[in-house]
Amino acid sequence: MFFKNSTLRYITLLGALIVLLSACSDFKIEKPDGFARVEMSYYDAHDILYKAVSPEGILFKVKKVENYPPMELDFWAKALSNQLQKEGYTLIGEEQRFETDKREGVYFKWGLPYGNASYIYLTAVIVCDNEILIIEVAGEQSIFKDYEDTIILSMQSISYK
Amino acid sequence: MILKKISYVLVITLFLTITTLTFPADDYLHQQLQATLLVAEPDIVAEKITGWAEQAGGYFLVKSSTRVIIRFPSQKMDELRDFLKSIAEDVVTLTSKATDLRENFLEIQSGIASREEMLRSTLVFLDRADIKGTLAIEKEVITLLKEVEELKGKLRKIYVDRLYALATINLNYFQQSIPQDIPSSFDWINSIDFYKFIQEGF
Repeated sequence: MFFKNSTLRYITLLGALIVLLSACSDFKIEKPDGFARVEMSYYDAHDILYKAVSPEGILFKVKKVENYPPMELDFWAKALSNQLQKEGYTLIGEEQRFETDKREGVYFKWGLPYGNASYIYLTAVIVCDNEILIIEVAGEQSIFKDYEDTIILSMQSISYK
Repeated sequence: MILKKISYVLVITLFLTITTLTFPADDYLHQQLQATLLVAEPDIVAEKITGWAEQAGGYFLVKSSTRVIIRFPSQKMDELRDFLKSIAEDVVTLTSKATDLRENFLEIQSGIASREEMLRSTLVFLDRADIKGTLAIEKEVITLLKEVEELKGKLRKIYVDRLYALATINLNYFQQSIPQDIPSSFDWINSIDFYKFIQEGF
């Protein structure tokens, strides 16, 4: 009986461990072509899920935040767009929708001056139940456009939960 | 000598007949448009604008990543306005004006008419003149012909201005002012900041 209970306990613990491990590796993404994946460090905030950088220094980051108050994609897309426009970011084109394997996302491209150059700042939002995935990509405009397609493909490859 | 004089008169008469421009009397306006566009990709936009001008039956005078100057049929002015709005991220300024060409046109036309009249009356003296007189008349005729040519050139320019509007389009790449930091009611939105993102690096 004791053996049986102990085995059962081990199995339960093992199961819990598997669930925990799988929860940690819920996030999947295909690296943007030409980028280098940057491993997470001790100093990274716990909400960062993925980081990559191109040889020219285009940064690509994915992080998660709590979906609170719990709202849908359109709400958050509008909230983000309104806020950045209010702050003076220049929206390039219109909001763009994209599909991941399970969900829909929205991204915006913003134009900003930085030093003597013009930069593109891409912000994307994917709502995953009680969490929101946020993708941020930024780089010099002339370089960014060379990587734009591969960045979008990478965003489309995101799988979470 | 007489034969030469006759042929001279004939050539001048023919010149006066052939080079007279007909000018439509209905519309004397020269349309001009000045625009400043905010664009993401100036080179591509410049290419699109010149492509539009050529397709509309016009042509471009200047094409660079900061400025495009085109001439296009005046009746396509509204079409150009819509086109510019469709290709720009934002239209910063869009102004148009029209110059009335009537006064210039009438001035030049009367200048031509008076010189042509002078030419005709000068030619009357040609068959009665001796060699010295003929040379003097010839000099006068050449001066008058030159003046008529110049005036007709100006008239042609007015004709082109009337048919083709002029658009000067400045291309700006984003505003140069740095965005302000305005707090959002949503915490996570406050973390979306380009400058912070760039400075943090990876």
